[in-house]
Amino acid sequence: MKRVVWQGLLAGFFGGLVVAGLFSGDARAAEQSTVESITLSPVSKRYSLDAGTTKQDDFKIVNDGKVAYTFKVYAQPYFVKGETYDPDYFSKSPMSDANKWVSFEKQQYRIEPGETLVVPYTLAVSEDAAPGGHYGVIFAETQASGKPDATSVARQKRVGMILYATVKGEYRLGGDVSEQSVPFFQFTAPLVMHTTVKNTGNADFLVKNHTEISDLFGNKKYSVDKEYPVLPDTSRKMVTEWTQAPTFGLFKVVTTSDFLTISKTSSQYVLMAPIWAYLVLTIVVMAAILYFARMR
Amino acid sequence: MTTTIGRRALSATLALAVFGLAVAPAVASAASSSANTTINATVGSTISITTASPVALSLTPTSGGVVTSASDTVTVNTNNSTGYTLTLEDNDATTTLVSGGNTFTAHSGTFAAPTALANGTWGYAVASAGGFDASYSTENSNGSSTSKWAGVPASGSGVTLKTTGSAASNDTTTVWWAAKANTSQPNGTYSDTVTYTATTN
Repeated sequence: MKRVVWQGLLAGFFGGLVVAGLFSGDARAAEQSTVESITLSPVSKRYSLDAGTTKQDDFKIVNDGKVAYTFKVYAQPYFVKGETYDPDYFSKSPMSDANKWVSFEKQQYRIEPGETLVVPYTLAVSEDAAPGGHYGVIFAETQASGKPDATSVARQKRVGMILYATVKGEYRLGGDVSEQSVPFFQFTAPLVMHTTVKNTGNADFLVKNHTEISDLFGNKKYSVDKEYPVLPDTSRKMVTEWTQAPTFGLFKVVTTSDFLTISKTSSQYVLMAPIWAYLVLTIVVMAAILYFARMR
Repeated sequence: MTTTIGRRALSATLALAVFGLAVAPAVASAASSSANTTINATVGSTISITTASPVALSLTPTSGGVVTSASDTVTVNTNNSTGYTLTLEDNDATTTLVSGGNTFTAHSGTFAAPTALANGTWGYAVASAGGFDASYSTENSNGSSTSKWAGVPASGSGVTLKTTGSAASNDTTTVWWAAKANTSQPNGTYSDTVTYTATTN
């Protein structure tokens, strides 16, 4: 009798698992079917143009989601705020005016799942554009569709392609490395280092940062190369992180920054150790001091 | 005699065969030529942003007020080595959830200093970012909610939700949305549109 009861309970348990599995699969399938995704390529374009000239170009939009949607394209100003380079799409900087040169054949498209569209645009540089850097961003933005049937937050998504345009003529290029810093005591991964570069000219340039980390025996542990645009009249703090840094270790960090005709290298040591290790060391040292004091 | 001739014929045949094998590769290689082809593969830079389920908030108000919250998973992919920045703002200057002439106003809390919702307000949160709580969970007409929220900024004043320093593969940011209502809130279907923006650094 007991065996029959247990068998019944087990059968019910496993049956419930099967039914739950079926429903969760349905829920996952339902969520996947509403996935809306927009991909833009490339993420930026660089131009060197004469004032008064026109250039035809294009970018791609890919729908790699599960639903069709309408997207619109438009251009806005682009500049940055602070050393962390927070994007500013409403900047009033005189250099953030490349958006005014952009025009589209069509401003709205419909794209099906799996489809790729090429969106053409024209860049017509104004006749009186000052020599030097001009910046803007082209957005592709999904449009919320349908009327909501419940209290809800409708989301539009947009991805941006940043325009870096330099108008030919007499302009200044200049910059300097303000800081290359690696804190000596670091308590937990990632091992962090940063370089700050200031642009003193009126056109942007690219900074190539090469970072190499080695142990005390010279064995290379990590290296990375990154390229950062630095806009005129700005300072950019470029942070590099070694996320796989071990818990303990003494490392040599060499960072080289190359831009324009400048190359600056810094070499610093970093001690990776969790904070409790310092506490333990302090306790041990104090205990040793007390011990020897008592011995005397 | 015959055997000797046969043996000599066999030896000659074998010698010829060996000679042929030795010469054949030389003859083959002498007839061959080679050329180099350079293969170039260009990988374009891309950035994508993805969301899934709609964010619906269903409230059953009480006189003291209740909070309902729901999550939105925003996924960004980019092969740009310096990463991306994700921002949030309302899609226009009006930051209210609207149902005809009735509204939920944008909460007064901010990303740096979020606070609990007041009745008739709505907002967003990102766990462990800014001053938000370490974690959030779905609330359904919770009358004793203490979770912290910020008001969505108007278009043009976007707030940075996340910024990364390296290429991103299925990098997710969970954005929580909530509204609080008491019985003085007229019933109806309220909505507003917000914009997530992703650009590379």
